Amino acid sequence: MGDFIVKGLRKTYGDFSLEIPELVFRRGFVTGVVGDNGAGKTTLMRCMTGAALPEEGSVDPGSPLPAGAVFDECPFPQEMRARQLSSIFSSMFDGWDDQRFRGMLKSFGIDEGKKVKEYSRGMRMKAQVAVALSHPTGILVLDEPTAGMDPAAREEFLDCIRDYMLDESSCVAISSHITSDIEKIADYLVFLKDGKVIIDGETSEILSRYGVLHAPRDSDICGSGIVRRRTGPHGCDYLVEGLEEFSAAHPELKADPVTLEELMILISKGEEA
Amino acid sequence: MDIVVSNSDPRPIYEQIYSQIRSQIINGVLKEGELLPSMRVLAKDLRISVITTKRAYNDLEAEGLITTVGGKGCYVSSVEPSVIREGHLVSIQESIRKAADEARENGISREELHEIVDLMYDGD
Repeated sequence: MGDFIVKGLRKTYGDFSLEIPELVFRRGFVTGVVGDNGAGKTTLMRCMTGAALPEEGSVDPGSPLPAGAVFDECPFPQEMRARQLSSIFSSMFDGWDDQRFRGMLKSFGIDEGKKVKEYSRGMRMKAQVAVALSHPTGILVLDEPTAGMDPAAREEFLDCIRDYMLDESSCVAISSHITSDIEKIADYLVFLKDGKVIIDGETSEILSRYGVLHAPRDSDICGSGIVRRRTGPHGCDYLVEGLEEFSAAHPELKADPVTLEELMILISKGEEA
Repeated sequence: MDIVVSNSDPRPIYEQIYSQIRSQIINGVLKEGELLPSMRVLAKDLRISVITTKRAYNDLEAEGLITTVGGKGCYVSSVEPSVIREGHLVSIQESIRKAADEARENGISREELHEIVDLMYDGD
């Protein structure tokens, strides 16, 4: 089993175009896919599972096993109850684990007798997670899986992913607007903007590479390392790339380590500096 | 095996893990031949990236404190305590030499320096 590799991908919808020369989802690790709405996260993930067909490019799953997927729209028949879903999936997926499926529904607090159409948003996501984790998969593609979940349920979900990752042949791609979830779970990060990958690398390395500098509004800090500037009502934030070198060159300026949230906001809303 | 990871500790997480396992091996809390949790299990238990635990284990292995047996896991190696102790003594001597030089140059007495060392030894 090898890495999950996306190559020369191109997918257009009207004005929007997702273009990815190459992207590697490392086996044994969790890759977080982040970016604003419309950056191309869902399009990328749909191409990865085969739910969307790209005009160009190839996807090498690196495994003969099917992908497990969680998307915003729940694909299960609305009139079905969870226990009926299990019998359908047992004929669809090799190695379907009915006991595990039911156990997960129970721990997620989903009544097996309830119809899919009666689920809340959080329950729809959880039911998809339970399905994805109840059969052998080559990759888990999770698009906003924690949307609609409360903090305790999100933590429980993240623990499911941590369990899944105990097997070193596991591979996960996950997107979320809840940046703290991504910071907690993603070993690697892919940052999309306007259909292109703008940052790609190890999460802790990326977060330690960038820093944020809070300065007065009339400050005009520029020079090597300053990549974005965002003016607010009471001050100005600068995004610094190469935090260590910058701090060494400008000991008078105190730059703080960046959070994923700040990094995303400064990259998408800041002006280039 | 007890490992405490703290966000208020300025050291990177891999270094916190590395130094805690290291001191448990040196102090004999972890004995020779003992099996450490796998990198993946430790990452899950501490809710951190497996990249981080891998880095800590790699550093421990590079120092000869643990050995990876392919397919089985990481074991505590046999460590000659005197070797480790010697390494510490050299580095402590270096630190104290700097402190002693500074004390002498600035008229701080031997007794005062001793007093500082005694205070520091008990922790602040």
